[in-house]
Amino acid sequence: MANKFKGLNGADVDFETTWKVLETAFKEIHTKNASALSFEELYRNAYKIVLKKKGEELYNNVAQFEANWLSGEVRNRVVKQLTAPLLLLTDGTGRSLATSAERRVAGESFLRALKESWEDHQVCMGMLTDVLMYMDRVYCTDHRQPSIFAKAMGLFRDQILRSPVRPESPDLIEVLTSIVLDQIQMHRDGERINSHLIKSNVYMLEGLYESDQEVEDEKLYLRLFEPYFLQTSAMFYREEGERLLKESDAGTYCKEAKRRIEEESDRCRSTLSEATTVKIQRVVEDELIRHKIKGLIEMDSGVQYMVDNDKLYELGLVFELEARVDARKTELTKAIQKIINEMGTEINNVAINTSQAPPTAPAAQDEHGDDKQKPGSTRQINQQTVAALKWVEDVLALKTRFDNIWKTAFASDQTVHTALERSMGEIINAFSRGSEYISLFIDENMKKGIRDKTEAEIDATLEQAITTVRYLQDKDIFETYYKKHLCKRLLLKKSQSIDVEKQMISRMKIELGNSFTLKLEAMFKDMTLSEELTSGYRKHVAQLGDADPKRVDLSVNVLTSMTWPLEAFRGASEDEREGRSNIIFPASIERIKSGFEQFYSKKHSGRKLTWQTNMGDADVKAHFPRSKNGRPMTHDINCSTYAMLILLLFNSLPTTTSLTLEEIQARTNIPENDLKRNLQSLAVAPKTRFLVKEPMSREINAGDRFTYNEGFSSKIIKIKVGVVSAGNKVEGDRERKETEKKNNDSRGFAIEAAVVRIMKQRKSLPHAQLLTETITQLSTQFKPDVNMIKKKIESLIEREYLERIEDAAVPSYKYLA
Amino acid sequence: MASISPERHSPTEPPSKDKATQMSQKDLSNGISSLLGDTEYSDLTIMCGQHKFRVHKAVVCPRSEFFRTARKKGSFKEGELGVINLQASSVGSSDVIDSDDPDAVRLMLVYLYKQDYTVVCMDTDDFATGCDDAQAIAASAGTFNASDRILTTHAKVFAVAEKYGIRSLKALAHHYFAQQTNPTPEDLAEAIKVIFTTTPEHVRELRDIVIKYILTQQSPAILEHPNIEAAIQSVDTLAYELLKKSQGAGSYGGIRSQDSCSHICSRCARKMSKPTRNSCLGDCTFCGADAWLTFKS
Repeated sequence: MANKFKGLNGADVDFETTWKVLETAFKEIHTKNASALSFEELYRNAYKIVLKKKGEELYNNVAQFEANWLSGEVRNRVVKQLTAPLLLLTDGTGRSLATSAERRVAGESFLRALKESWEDHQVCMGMLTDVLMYMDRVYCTDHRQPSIFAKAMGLFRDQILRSPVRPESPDLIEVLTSIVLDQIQMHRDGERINSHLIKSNVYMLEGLYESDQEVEDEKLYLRLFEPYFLQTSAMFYREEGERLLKESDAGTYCKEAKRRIEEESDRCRSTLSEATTVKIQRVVEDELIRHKIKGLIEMDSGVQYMVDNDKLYELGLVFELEARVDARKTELTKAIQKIINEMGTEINNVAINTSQAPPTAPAAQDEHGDDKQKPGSTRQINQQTVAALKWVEDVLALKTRFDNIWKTAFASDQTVHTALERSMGEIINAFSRGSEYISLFIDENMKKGIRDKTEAEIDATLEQAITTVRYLQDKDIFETYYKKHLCKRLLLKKSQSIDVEKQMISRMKIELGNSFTLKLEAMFKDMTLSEELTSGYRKHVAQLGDADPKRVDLSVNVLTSMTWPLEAFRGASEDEREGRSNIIFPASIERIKSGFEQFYSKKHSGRKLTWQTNMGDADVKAHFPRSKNGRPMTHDINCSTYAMLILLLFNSLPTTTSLTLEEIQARTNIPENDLKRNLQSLAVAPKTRFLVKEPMSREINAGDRFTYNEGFSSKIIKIKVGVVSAGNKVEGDRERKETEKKNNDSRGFAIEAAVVRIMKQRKSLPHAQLLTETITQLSTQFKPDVNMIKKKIESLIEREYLERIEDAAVPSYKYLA
Repeated sequence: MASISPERHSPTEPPSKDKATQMSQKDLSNGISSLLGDTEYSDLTIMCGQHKFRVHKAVVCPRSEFFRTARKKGSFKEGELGVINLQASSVGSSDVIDSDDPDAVRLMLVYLYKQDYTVVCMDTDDFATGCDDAQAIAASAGTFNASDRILTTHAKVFAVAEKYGIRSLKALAHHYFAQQTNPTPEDLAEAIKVIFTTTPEHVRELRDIVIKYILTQQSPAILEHPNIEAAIQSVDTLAYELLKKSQGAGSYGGIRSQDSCSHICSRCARKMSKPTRNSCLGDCTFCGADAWLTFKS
């Protein structure tokens, strides 16, 4: 029994001696003197203490030992580095009292001391943990104590970081924070700092927690450093942003902002913590972009200036900046749309001004090189045609310009693209003559523009044309004009290439749909059929064996009457229509005409042919006795059908016999206006003066007499008699009104058809819904006017297609089958 | 090129994955066993008393945190020297609280290579070749008759396993200890001393076996044996535990009842009624995690 008591006492004595052994060793470890220590011996001693159930005492002793060590040795070493330049940092006066170089050097030695202390502490505690392994395993786990390592880290936090530097002054960690922030500020100002040193201290703050539970978001870095860092950064960038906006231009601002954002990311990587990257970027973006982008865009050197001066790189920077904070790029898009709108309005205004300008504007005249002999109104029309072409080209140039900006500077961004498209559409549709002008542009290219172009160039031109068409809202009006212009190109053989024409149609088909090109394709079909018909007729004539050399050759274009906009050829007045069919042909012509009619009715019975004499042309061989230096000569004259009829009249007359205007009209029955115009070509125009007019004057008047011009002379064998106003020109006001009226009529039909279609399907429908559905259905063709729809509904009710539902809650209609 | 397939397998019947795995595991353990006593690749020396074991870090360190830590470079003396000197108890002494029995250490190292150990047959010890001083071995073998002290030896192996943190060896020693159903009183008395002085109180495995063994002896003769009596008297808590257990308190340990308590797994936080161990690290019966099990009654 005595043995036992002795054993107990022995254990107590044992603990003290064993602990002394350990304590001495720990001191050696802390003074970096461990290499002579035997791990086995220390482990054995620590094991023994735990075995003897003194784990708790051991744990507490070690903790106490560490606390003493930290608060004594370590704290002194660190605080000693807090030299004068640093001491006033925390109260905000420090920066003015010491130069940044002094502060930097002092700060660095403080950071170094703290870093070394921390690292030493870690290494030593690592070794202590090794020695106390069994205590951690048995005592700490059983008693739910933090491991001795964690405990010692907490002690470092409490004894070093969270204790005041000296009484009544802030905690060391506050000093640390302000020193680090001060160094970062120096770095932002362009000085070199030791980022590695700061990073080490950040590691320390990231490795320590507010409590011994070591909750992840309670890291000292997150709690005690990062908030201040973000706060001071926000302040700094707010001021920096304002200064930059005042002092530099937008391009520089963008470059600076970009640099700052990248710099802050780099800083997080090299100096602070990666975890802060997103947060600090958010701060910089807020201060330099989100709050400033509007001001930046609206600066004198802002987006408007960049667009005006093709500063694509700077525009790219603005885009990049805003893209960081706003996926929709609202401000930039708004600014660009405004610019497009202004530039587009300018283009539209120029076109409107030109079309309304007095015809004799000298500059315009020179530019266009107008034929002097053309009457004033024609000149004005030509001038307007040029203006129309210019409008389309300007619009295309505008689009190309912004497409280029979009591609180069705006990274082909989809949102911006949508906005650009919308703006382009707005300008094009804001111009009331857009449809006509675009069709004219295509017409011009088909007639002349593509003459010497390669296939690729033609392709590009077609693509451009389609591009503008795409924007048009009122596609039906465009169709009207296009048909009209195409009609003239085909019939007057003005088109450079039928192939290209067809390509254009197929492009339109892709872009605007089948229904749009249906009638246009029918026109081409008519042309092909006519060619076959003509050659068929020729064969037929040849088979007849009537090999009369003087027989007039005939080629015919048979046009389906609903497809072709024949009014394009119609002269000014409406009443000419009935006169046409009664044209009196000379016998030779009449014979062929009836011959063809017979041939045709054999092929297609039941079809009625109406001869459009005002659209034809003829090749005539004419003899002039004194043409070539007084010697006789035969000229090939190409002229309109009417001109041919007039010339043929003189064939049957003696050379000196004259005919009056009235006589000619009586013998041919050509409508007066056409007759006057043709006589003007034949008797007034100097190069084609086959007739002599009496009295000689510009205007053709009643009672004027005409004789065969025996003295006609020309060096050219093939002579083309100019047909006045045969080409496609801008419409005159009256023509336009007519087109509009027609267009409104056809729109009326389209609306009625749509309404009936919808009602037939739905049987009954509220008014508002009927309106929306109608508008949706027609949107591919044009944007219907609501009043027009209302009128058409009224009209349908009158005609008993629909009826109002009397007692409906909302105004509704019912379909009457 | 043609003789790729070994003769034992017809080429049409490849060995199953399990078979291949078995083979490779066998090869691996054979390979490790063959290193026992090897000096060519040896890179660590463990000394204990007169024994000097040439061992391999790659074999020893992964199994024991103590050895792993001890050979770390740059901290303590052992790391610099490449020699770990374990303090040996005096020959034949059972007072191993402060030191290790060289034979237990030897068995521990044998186990690390062979996954097993045997107490008898000292002469064919594989480490004989690893010993610098063959005579020393012979001397120790001569004075220490292991076959007399089987129970004690297992208890000592258990103790070093606990001290140096080799869980699987603890389990094996526990197993062997429990198999000794009829120890000599001398052996039992010595084992009692070893068990109750060299392992902490919370390590119950062998304690429970001993208490149960004593209480379940039909004749009281065992308590009258002078060695047993001395052993029971020398251990502070044993007498109390025996008394408490004999009163039918339902608990061997008198500290914790295995039936009425449970452990909470730190990983899946589920309660298990039959933990693998009293506390500390263990295998959770639910998530299988090698997790900290927190005791809760």
